[in-house]
Amino acid sequence: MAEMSDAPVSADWRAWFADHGPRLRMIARQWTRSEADADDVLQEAFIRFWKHQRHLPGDPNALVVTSIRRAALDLIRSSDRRAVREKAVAADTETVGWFEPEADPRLRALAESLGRLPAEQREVVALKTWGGLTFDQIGEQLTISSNTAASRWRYAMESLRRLITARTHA
Amino acid sequence: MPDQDDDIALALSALRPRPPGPSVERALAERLDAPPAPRSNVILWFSGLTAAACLALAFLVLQQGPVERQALAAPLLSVADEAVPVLRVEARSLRAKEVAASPLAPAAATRSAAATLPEANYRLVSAHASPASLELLEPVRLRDGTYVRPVRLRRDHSMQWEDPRSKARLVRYLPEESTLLLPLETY
Repeated sequence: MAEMSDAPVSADWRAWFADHGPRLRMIARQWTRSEADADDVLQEAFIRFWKHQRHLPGDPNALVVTSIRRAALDLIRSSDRRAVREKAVAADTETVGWFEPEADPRLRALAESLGRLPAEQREVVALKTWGGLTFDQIGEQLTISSNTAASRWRYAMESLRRLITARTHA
Repeated sequence: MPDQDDDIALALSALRPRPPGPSVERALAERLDAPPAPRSNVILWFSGLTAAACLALAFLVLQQGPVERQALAAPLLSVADEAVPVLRVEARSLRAKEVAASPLAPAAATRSAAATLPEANYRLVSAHASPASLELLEPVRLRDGTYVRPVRLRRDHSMQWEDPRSKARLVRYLPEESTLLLPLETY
């Protein structure tokens, strides 16, 4: 995964977006109901980050994830979908489509298994794996304690192991 | 099972998320490569004017500082005449009105010296305020996720009263430092 530490000094948004766009979209997908919504959220969040926030102090990783989350919440509010929020978002997702096709059957099984995780576990997995955040930062993003974030991560790892084993032995 | 969890974590990082659709990059190019829109100018002007207004307000507050302190000094030093700049200091009442919690507490030593005088008429002979120095600090993030830029203002005040009879002088020196937070527009 590419590091984001070059964001505040880089002036070429295209190169930066080419490096980080896929994983940022993966994060946006956690809080949106469709691929199109994820693209919209990513677009708004990236413009906000690039224009106004990339020179701010602090971890640019956390800044851009915050921007994505706010844009996603704005979209949910504007669409009057507050009641269905994250859990419903997770219910109808085909996570295998979130990734490039993989030849390795274990990776394919892993991509499919992500969709079976509860949304609150999957968003922790996404924020840690593709967002590069620490458990403390994840806790801040989701307004939960870092211990809760770590617990969700552990449960997710156990569930994924169980699901992959079941799929590969089926 | 930390080692086994590491295996899963490693496998997760090997998955390659799909890139955003081409329409995203086109939309980004339209908005990031374009010259600043009028709305951006409005926001810039608004932010600039807000910051200027805050600084002007801070300057006015600081300008009024010495006057307020003079007004404060009057009751604390038991001034008989209200007319400035003549201050009548009654030494006995100084002891009675010990004001440790007041902003004039640093001047306790001076008051103690004055308290040794039986009675004196002090006239304000000079009052000086140094120009305020402004220091713009790095932006900081607040708990609610917004950003502010702290601005530190520093200035010194000095006042001297003199008893024309004994030529004794009371000197009060007040360094002043305050910090203002200017909101930063990030949205």
